[in-house]
Amino acid sequence: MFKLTKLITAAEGADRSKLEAALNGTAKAHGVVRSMLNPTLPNVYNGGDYIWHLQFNDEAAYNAWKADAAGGKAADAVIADPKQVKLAESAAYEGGRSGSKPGAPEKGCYRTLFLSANQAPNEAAVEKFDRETYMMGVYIHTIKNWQVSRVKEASGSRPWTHIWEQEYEDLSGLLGAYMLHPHHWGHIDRWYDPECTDYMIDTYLCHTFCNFDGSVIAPK
Amino acid sequence: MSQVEHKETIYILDQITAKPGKAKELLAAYMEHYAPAAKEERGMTLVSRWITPPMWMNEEDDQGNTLYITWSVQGAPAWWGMSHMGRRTPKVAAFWKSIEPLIEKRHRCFLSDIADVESLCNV
Repeated sequence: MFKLTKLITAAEGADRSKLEAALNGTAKAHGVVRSMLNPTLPNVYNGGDYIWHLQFNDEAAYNAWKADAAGGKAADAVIADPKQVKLAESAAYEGGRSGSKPGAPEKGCYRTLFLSANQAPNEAAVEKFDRETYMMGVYIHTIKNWQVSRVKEASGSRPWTHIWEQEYEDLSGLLGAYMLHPHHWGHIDRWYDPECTDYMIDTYLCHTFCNFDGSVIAPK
Repeated sequence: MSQVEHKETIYILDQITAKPGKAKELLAAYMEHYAPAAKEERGMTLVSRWITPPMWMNEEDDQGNTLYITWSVQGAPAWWGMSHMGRRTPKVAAFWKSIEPLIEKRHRCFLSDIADVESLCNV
């Protein structure tokens, strides 16, 4: 599955209904097999006002949608309009390694993290980071569906290299167990912490979450 | 989610190997330029300062001392507070940069008592 996620910050005074309708309209164009446009919840960090997520069967379908006047071109025009959109963080990526637990919910809290491993010393370190990030879903019981992906096309505030997506039954699974489990603070956070010698991820992150109704991670 | 009390002590261990003959200077810099803000602004408690070998290696030697400096915080939320404060404070990054000429290598890791593993994971 090929994915496109954009974190959209609406312009001040933008007509949000119009913005939502325009984006949802482009998601009806040929090639989109799954889509979600939901407002972010309070306390996101560089998370925008909306998470907009589209899926395609493969990269070719994504490229065809991008070139479609009713699809990607229309979306680009909306996002480029300063009366509607202030900022868009964007990442297009082949869905990477994913996991799913039995009984994973169809509704709940979706969270995505945009990060840039722009200080990685070598590919081996990035592969290790990928494996450890995947394992968060194994260790942390509140993560029900999860996927870590390498970005192919990025734009916005940083050259995003990874997208780390999770789905929870509710927000408490993210703000509670995800943050408190020692796999997070005692192990994997060293990649993000400038005081640790494994540090390689830009401290500017987009940490954002919204409600979801219909998983965008579990196999379709 | 179970009721979480955050009663576990989390340890922050800096393992720093000095260049030959530089351990005293390194320790002095650490205690003068890093430790005060760690205690007063980041809620870290200094637990121990250990050295191996337990003598000052001089610069004629081909190896330096390794310092093991251990701090503690109480529970994961305090760990995040400590960590985020460090990331937001330019003088922290500046300190680590400033001691690079004195050190051969360093490593920071996070530990707990083995008896606390179960409760730390029960979140």
